Amino acid sequence: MSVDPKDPQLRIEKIIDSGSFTPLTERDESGMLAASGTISGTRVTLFATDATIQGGAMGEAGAHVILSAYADAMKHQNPIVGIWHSGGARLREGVKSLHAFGLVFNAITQASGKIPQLSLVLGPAAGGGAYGPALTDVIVLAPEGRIFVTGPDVVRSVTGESVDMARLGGPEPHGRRSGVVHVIAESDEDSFESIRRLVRLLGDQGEFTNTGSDLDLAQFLPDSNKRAYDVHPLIAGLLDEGSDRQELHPKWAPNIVTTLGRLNGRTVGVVANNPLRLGGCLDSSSAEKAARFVRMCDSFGVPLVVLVDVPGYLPGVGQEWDGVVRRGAKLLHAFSEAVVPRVTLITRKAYGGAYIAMNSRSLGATKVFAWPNAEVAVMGAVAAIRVLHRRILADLPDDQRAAMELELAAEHEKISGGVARAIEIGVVDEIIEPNLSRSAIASAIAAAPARRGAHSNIPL
Amino acid sequence: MIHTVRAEMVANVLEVSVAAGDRIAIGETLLLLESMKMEIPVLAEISGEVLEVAVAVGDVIQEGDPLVLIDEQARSASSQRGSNQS
Repeated sequence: MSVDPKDPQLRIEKIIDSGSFTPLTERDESGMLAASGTISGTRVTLFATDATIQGGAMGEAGAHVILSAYADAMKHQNPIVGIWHSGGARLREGVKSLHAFGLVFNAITQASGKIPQLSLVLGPAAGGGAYGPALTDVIVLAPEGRIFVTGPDVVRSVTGESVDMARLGGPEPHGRRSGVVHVIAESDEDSFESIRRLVRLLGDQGEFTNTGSDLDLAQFLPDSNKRAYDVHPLIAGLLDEGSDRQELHPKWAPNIVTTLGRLNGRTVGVVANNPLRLGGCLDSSSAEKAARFVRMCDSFGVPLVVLVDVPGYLPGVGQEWDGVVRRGAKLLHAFSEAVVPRVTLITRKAYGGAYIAMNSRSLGATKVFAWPNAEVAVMGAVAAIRVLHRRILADLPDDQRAAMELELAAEHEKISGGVARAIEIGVVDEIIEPNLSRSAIASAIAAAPARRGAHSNIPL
Repeated sequence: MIHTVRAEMVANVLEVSVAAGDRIAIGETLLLLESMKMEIPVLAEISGEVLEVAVAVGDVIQEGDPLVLIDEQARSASSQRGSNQS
């Protein structure tokens, strides 16, 4: 006899260590199952909708199963994993089922920031089944996972838009456009492994045990200062090789990278500008993405490493109307509020308002490092002198202008730009060599008091 | 399947590295743009054949403008996990 692949116990057992399944509730008509188990030895609480009954729709009884799972996770202060495949509320139960979903939302929110909450969406998760995961810290979406408030039929009847479930709420829209999903898995197996990785990273953060070896991180930057590059290899070089690493929101707002990984054995969260995308500019989406990541790390005591190479905020009417002021403010707030050790490394440049937002000294960074050739300034030297010396430059013949610009820029850099000036002012603490950066960052984090923010992780 | 690579932001086209008919691999440079006083390469996210290059050196492009049309090949079994091409 083969087991239905939608069987909730089967799905739970695929995630946890073999033989560790311990039921917390009975297998019954509630359409929900809760259990505890271990993942690589770390205790976790799990619940799964039973998609073999009414498509996983949830009512009062199902909600109480989730509430007992939360009670268990809170009692043991361990991570909780929700496995979703649910059409939403049980229509037959009417308002009772709406009330039931509300109770679940409340329980998730009460636990927010206290225990890591991970959601795995394996099938359609509609209505309340969408907002359950949305309130948690991380959503992993399997290939057949779909997340939406109202399904294609309702959308068509109300707005006339013809769309299928995948285009409405599948991996493509949620991975790139909406930012609803943090991790897009390539297969169910891959989605289980992502959950296991996240549980290890957040639930078993480890300590700076191994000293690790330094390597020259400057090798990951191009020779030309003006050239954009992909920051991923630099992050890979910073983090421990061969250990758990999980990027969140890789395709959404790709101009900033948010990655959990290990540095000398300990979990850290990396926030890095990615010059390859939008030149690494901050914009409304990337600021929001980073802000949520920073707050999540802070609430679980995960130290932050911030890699800065940022030309500024992305200019444009679209950005202003998109609320770059409101959404950008979230990043300023998140860093200012964070009490975990948070170390900044300016690799190349940090300009203007974006410099402030990237965990600057003024926002309370634990330590601000810079590489020897880094530049901290209000804007690039050439741009600055074009403003400051507009008249002089305009009066020059065309063939002399470029030379004059270079001369003025060099002079300007001396008084306002270079890293030496930043040290003098006190906005950079120390110049470090690229080949000693790993150990310098790890030491700075280890030396700071291990603290954890006392706040929830609202889905910004 | 035909993919359109679009401009992410306002930029000048500095270099065009591919032409119609070229076969390209993931990570290959398609164009070099200039924006925010930086040189920003546009890399292929898929492999396939270039059908059309919609811009020329010196063009000023706006966000959303089509840059390159690529006919995507059937996904090979070697598609790696993760997005890093390092």
